[in-house]
Formats: sequence, C-alpha cells, structure tokens
Amino acid sequence: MKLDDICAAWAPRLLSVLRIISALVILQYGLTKLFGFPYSEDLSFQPAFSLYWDAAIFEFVGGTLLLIGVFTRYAAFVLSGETAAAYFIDHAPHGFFPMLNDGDLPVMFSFVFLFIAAAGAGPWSVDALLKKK
Amino acid sequence: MLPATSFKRGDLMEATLDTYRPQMLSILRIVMGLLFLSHGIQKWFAFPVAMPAAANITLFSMIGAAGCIEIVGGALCAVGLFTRVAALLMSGEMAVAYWFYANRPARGFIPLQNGGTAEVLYCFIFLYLVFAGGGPWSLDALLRKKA
Repeated sequence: MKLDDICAAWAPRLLSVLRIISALVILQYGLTKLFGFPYSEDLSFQPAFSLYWDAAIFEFVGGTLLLIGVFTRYAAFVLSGETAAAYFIDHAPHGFFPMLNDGDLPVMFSFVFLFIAAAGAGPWSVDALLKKK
Repeated sequence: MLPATSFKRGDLMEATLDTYRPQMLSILRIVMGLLFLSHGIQKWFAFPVAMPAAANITLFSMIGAAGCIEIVGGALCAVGLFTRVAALLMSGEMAVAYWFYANRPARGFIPLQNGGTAEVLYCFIFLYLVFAGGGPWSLDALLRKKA
C-alpha cells in the first residue's frame, strides 16, 4: 500500500529527528546544571562532584554526542542508565505512579534512549556519514 | 551469520542490536501508552492524585477533550491497536498543549524554562510512532498475521 511505503521511507528519518530532539532536551539539563544556561532556579550551578553535577556531565557529554550522532548507541545506552538512576534516586521514593512522583520525564528519557541504543542514529547523523565512507 | 572477518569493529554489536529493534519499539510504545493513559486517568478520575486544573472537568472543554484523547489514545497505544492513528492524535494533542493550551512560547523559548519539556518529548515520540508503527508485540501485528 502506498501509505505504508511512505511510512517505511520516513521512519528512519523520523528516528533521526527523534534522536536530535531528545538530545536537545537532555542537553538543556546538562547545560543548566554545569553552566547555568538556560538558567533554572532549582537546577543551576551545582557544586562540583555532587550527584547532580555528575549527572550533568553525563547529560552534557552524552547529549552532545547524541545531537550530532557520534557513538550514538553507546551514548544512548549510558544516558538510558543515567536517567533510570535519576528516576530511582530522585522520583521513585515519592510514590509508585509518575503522577505522584513527577517522574514521567525520566521514564520517557530512559526508554527513548534505550530504544535509540537499539535502533541507532538514523540517516541524518555523523554515524551514517562515516559509514558511507 | 556472516564470517567475523567481514565485520568492522563495532559492526557485530550493531547487527545484534538491530535484531532487537522491533521489540524495543514495542516496549517504547507500551511505556508511552501507559504514561499517557495515566495522565488521562488523572484528569478524569483524579487518580492517583487530583489535578487542580481539572477540578471541574467537562467533556466539551479543552482539558476534557485532552483527557479523552489521553485515555482512549493511551490505551490503544499501550495494547498496540490502531497505533498510527492513535499516535497521530496524541502527537497533535501535545502540540496543541504546547503552543495553545499551556502557551509555552509566551513563557520563554527554552522548554526547561517554560516548563514544556514533557510535551515536547511526548509530541516527538508519538510522531515517530506514527511512522514506525506498533512493532511486533501489538494487536496490530496480531491482526495482520490473521488477515
């Protein structure tokens, strides 16, 4: 069917779009904790080597790698673990449901990065460029 | 399987991971469906905790319609029935939530500052599901097998 063909052709490209968007979204958490931009009342300027600062290093480095699509699967796998840890340390103690513990964002992050680790970067990435050569 | 000499470094890992891609897609779809469903249930049934904005919820209000899309779409997405249609509706709902209902752009350009991070992520994950479908662990796949 024609619609199926269109979907099949665009699914890999949309995977790249999803990768770029989720990278930008996780990157803002790394940037705000490390550099205070974008500034956030609760998150900005964490003391060095604190738990949040360590998380920010993962978010900054992993987010940058994901954004351009280099070592995508490794970066996504590590970030999936990082966000899962964030969920269990910061959110899970406040209740089982994401509505109670405000944890739907880390859950989404964790699963979307796990999926990207399995699916790769898609065609719009440095990984894909390198493979062509 | 191809002989090991035909692989460059890392290729074997990629090939192995690629075989699990469809299953991972289904896992992502189930989790996203359940999360979205829980938002709808919170709006309509105040479970597990009441949502202040949805205190006097009516069917023909923006938040009431959003709750309906979240319950029906989230449930369909979780079981993988009509995945693409449901995902398209939910992706659109999140775009409307971001641009109109919550009016995030008026509160700043960056989602971290305007509070719209979750909406952005929901929107794009569901947009991906529109094109990728429900994966092998879904009612869609089950029905296709019988047809």
